[in-house]
Amino acid sequence: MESEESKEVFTKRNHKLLNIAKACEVFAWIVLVLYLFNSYTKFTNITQFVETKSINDSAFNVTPISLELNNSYFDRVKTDPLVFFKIAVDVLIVVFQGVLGFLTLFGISYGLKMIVETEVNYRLNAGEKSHA
Amino acid sequence: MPENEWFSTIYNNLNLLETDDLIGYWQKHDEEEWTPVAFDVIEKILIERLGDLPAKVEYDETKMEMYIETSGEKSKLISELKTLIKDSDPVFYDPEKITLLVKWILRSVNFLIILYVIQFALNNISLFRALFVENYELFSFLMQIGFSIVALFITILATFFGYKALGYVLKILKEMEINSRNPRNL
Repeated sequence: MESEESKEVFTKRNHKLLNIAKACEVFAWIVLVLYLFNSYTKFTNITQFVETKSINDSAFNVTPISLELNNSYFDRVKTDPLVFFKIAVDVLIVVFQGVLGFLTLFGISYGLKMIVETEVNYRLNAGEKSHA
Repeated sequence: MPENEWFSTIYNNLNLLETDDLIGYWQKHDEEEWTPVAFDVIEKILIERLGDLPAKVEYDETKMEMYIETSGEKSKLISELKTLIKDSDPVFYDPEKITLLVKWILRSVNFLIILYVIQFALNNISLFRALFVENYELFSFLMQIGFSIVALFITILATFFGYKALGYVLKILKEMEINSRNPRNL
């Protein structure tokens, strides 16, 4: 299908859907970049927090029930690989949320394009070029 | 040349040929190439050599013409189909990219779910330690962690089925688009 033909074939609704699809693609990249930036800030925040605290600030093994292994207690186990594992998991979750957001928006974009393509195919098969 | 002499000359000449060649000539029965006498001689030689005449293959000209027409039509159809496929390729998207996109969505979801579970385990590691090291009561443990498990379970289900549905919707849309193309509708 040539571009000249597509101008004739598309309805206003088709154009709107294609514009939304294009916007979704642009927005997908923005979402990915924002999430990656967010993951980086999260990583730096946690590591800074861990670096500034002393290893003996809190006593994890003394009162384990009251203490959960969240960001505020990373300082106590500076050298514990679990802490860095926890940081990695937290950061990866943010990264994958961004990746999924990116893929979802691209999926929506492709979905809209496929809907337009299907509608145009049916209309061309029916022998008419435009409802508009 | 007397008829008998002529017949024997042909006989002697054809008798030099291999049986398979004679069978081929006899089956083909090309009357433009061979005289009727030659076919009689070939029949005689073949009967002498094989004891009987081989099955005759009919070269029906009409059938041959039909075959040529059919094969011509077939190649024409194939070329038309190729053109149609080329013409009916989607303009706005690449079907292979949809497959790839769905595959990566499902992979990412699975990985995210694994990360959620690991995060949950890490967040509650102190409780697990308490349960095993400090003889923390199981009931209290379950009370404390129960809601978190339910919340995690709901999060996993919502995430998994949400993205799985998205994948299927994309696949169905792709199928719908393919079915709406010209070649399938004809």
